[in-house]
Amino acid sequence: MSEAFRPTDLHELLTVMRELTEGELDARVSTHTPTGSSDPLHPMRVMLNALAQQLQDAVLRCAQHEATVRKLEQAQRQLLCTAKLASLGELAAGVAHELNQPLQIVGLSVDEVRDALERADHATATEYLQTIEDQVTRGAGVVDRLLALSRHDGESTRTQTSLDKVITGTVSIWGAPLAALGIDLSTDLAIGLGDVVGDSQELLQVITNLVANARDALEGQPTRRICLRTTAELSHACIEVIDTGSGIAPDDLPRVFDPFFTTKGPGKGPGKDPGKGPGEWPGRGTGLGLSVSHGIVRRHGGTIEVFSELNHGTRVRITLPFAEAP
Amino acid sequence: MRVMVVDDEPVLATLLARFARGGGFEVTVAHNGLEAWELFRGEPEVWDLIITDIRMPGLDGVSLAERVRADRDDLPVVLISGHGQWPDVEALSPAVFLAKPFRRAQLLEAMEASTAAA
Repeated sequence: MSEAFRPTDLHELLTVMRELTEGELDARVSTHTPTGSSDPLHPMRVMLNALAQQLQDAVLRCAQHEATVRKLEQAQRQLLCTAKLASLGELAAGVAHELNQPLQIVGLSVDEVRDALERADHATATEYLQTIEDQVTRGAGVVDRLLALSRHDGESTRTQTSLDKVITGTVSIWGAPLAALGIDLSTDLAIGLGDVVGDSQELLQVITNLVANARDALEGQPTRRICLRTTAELSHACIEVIDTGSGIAPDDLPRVFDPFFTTKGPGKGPGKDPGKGPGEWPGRGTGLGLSVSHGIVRRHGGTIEVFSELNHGTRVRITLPFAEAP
Repeated sequence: MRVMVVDDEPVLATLLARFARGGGFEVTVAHNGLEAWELFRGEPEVWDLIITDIRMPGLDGVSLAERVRADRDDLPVVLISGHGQWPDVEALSPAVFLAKPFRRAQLLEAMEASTAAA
């Protein structure tokens, strides 16, 4: 009984190993030992075949896993597409409503002008021409806000911007109108907060719009407070607009960034104008403010999140990346 | 004939009321669904026609029409929509729907159709 192994046995093992390395995963060595003989390489053969089997199983599982991931990705893409289409449908219905209101008024006013001219009643004709002009301006405003949704990066001017200035600008715009409504507007600013790279006008638009939303949520509330707070995080500046208003229902929360979604009831044009008469609550929203803000913040490489509790208030949190140190 | 015009857009409500008055109707304007409902509930029998916008805050036009119809199933109603979507509500039949933007002639047709249907 010889304990020595033959070079051909070693060669067989090496061949199978090479085949396995080259991807022939069903390659195996023979484990048969003829009766009466002994094979010192037998345990190695068995071990090699077991390893080959494990390798083959693992590769198969990996392929199955990849197929599942692909299917999942496909399903996810379909879902996104459906969500986009639903959003588009909502957008279209919103646009239709917002434009049909002024068009309707223009149409009926034209008839009034025609009647007035037939009676040579120039005063009434002029009055309705003014109505028509107002409604054309209103329609153009809807189109402007709609276009703001699709504005591209290139059109905004980015410079090193101080968020303190954005907040100060917001306070100078909103301070007096809010005070007239009995709303306390306060600031809590981080000392030495670094600049961000951005379009200061666009950022001002975002913050003033958030304050307008906060004001709307405070109508009829016993405690009326809005706080603008900035904090520094590792690589981001954080701005929060916090109010003690009516809050947003949990069902509405996922939709607040959808274009034309509003809980204020659409139809009367924007209530974002702080220049209204003192102590006057605004008309209702267009449902575009938050979606436009979302677009602006995203284009700045930032994030915007809304946290809200019904009857307790809302906190909108924006993060913007710090500008690189000069 | 006594008509109630319901629209949360004041300019439009005024224009609709002006047109109906020109046609010889006695017109009362309500600026939202709840105000209209209060007006109706005060004297349900006096109204001959209700012209209402659908999309309004609080009580919308469809809910208003449903409430009114539950009380008076003979009352003609014209429902106006700004986005061409009509509710499929059996209780509203035979309400007449009118899509914005419409001209005076179409409003007049809708008013006549609703009075003929009810």
